[in-house]
Amino acid sequence: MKCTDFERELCNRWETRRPNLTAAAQEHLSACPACRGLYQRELALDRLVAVWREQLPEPPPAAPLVEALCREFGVRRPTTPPTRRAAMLWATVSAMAVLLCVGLVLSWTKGSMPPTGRLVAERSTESAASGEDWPLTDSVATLWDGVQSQSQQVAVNTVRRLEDWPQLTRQERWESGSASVPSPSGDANDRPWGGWGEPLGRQVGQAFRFLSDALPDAALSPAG
Amino acid sequence: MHPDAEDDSELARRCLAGDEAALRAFVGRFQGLIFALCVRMLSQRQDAEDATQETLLRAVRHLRHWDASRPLKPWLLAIAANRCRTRLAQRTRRPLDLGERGDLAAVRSDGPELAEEMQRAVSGLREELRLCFVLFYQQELSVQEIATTLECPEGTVKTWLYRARKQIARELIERGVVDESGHEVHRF
Repeated sequence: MKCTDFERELCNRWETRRPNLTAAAQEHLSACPACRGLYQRELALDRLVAVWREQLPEPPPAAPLVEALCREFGVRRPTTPPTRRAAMLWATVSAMAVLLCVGLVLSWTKGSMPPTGRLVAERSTESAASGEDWPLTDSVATLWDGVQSQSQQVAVNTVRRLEDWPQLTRQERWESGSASVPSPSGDANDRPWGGWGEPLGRQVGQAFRFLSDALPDAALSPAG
Repeated sequence: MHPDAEDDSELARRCLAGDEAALRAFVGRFQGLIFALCVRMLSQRQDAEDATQETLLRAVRHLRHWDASRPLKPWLLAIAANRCRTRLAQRTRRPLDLGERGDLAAVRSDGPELAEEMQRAVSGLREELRLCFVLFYQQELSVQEIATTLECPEGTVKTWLYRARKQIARELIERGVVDESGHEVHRF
């Protein structure tokens, strides 16, 4: 290899980013001090280029550039930071949702609670006087309340009203010949009312059994 | 199609549709690349930032003219190179004032002194040689890619690179950064 060939080989090396010389170039290098000096300068330049490439100033922040591009192309952007607005919106919606849920639960609980005490007596009396039907849950609740309050009149009114229901005649639902001691909590002989399901049918059965045993026959007669 | 070109074309399509997220991604992907070329070519931070912004604005404005079958990077670098040429031409008509020279020193103070010496040598190159050198060593483009970007033959790119290396090596020896045998002189 001649010195001119070696110099061409040096050019090929950096043009193709090849780290090493060919075998022929290395052989020439060991025999030619001038080319050795040239090669050393090339290596020194490569080292300096590597240092220079690494020492690049930091680019400017991207935000102003994005802003300029958005302005240029008419892209609509929010005037306040989106994260803050979104957080406020979420907090408001969450608070409203919680309040709504609490209100619904409270109203549902209050509406499904059985009336008790004086209110039950009044409603039962009013209902008997007006002849209007109460919802089933109210009737059962009234029944139990009457039993617990030991008010005979309330119990009588309630039983009469239930007796008025054509599908709930006493003969159909009642098991005759029961001589067990009446108990508000019921026992194994209590029979559920067919078609009412559990536990409602069983509770109604217990209530009627208790009333039937506890009240005098005269109180349950239509004229009473 | 180039593997990056597919991704780039989707990004370009969204940018043209006015998608803010796409514009943000576009800036994130190419700003550093363009700024690197501009700051090496102009050796002045404020000028480089302005040229970077101009390049990105022009690029997005003319994205519909970009050939989507080719990678976006050389196309953007060509725009950036043109912006740098324009600014360098303006400088020859209007010499840098003292404030701008001070800013130029501030750019060089970012790195160690060897890198400063290198940047000084690069800044002394003729415009074509400097552009070629920066594209090859800073952007790590191949000779073929540089030829495509600058729209000139590969042989010309090789010649410019050879001359740039020779001139830089000579200047570094003259300034005593490297001695004749190729050893760095640790005078710092």
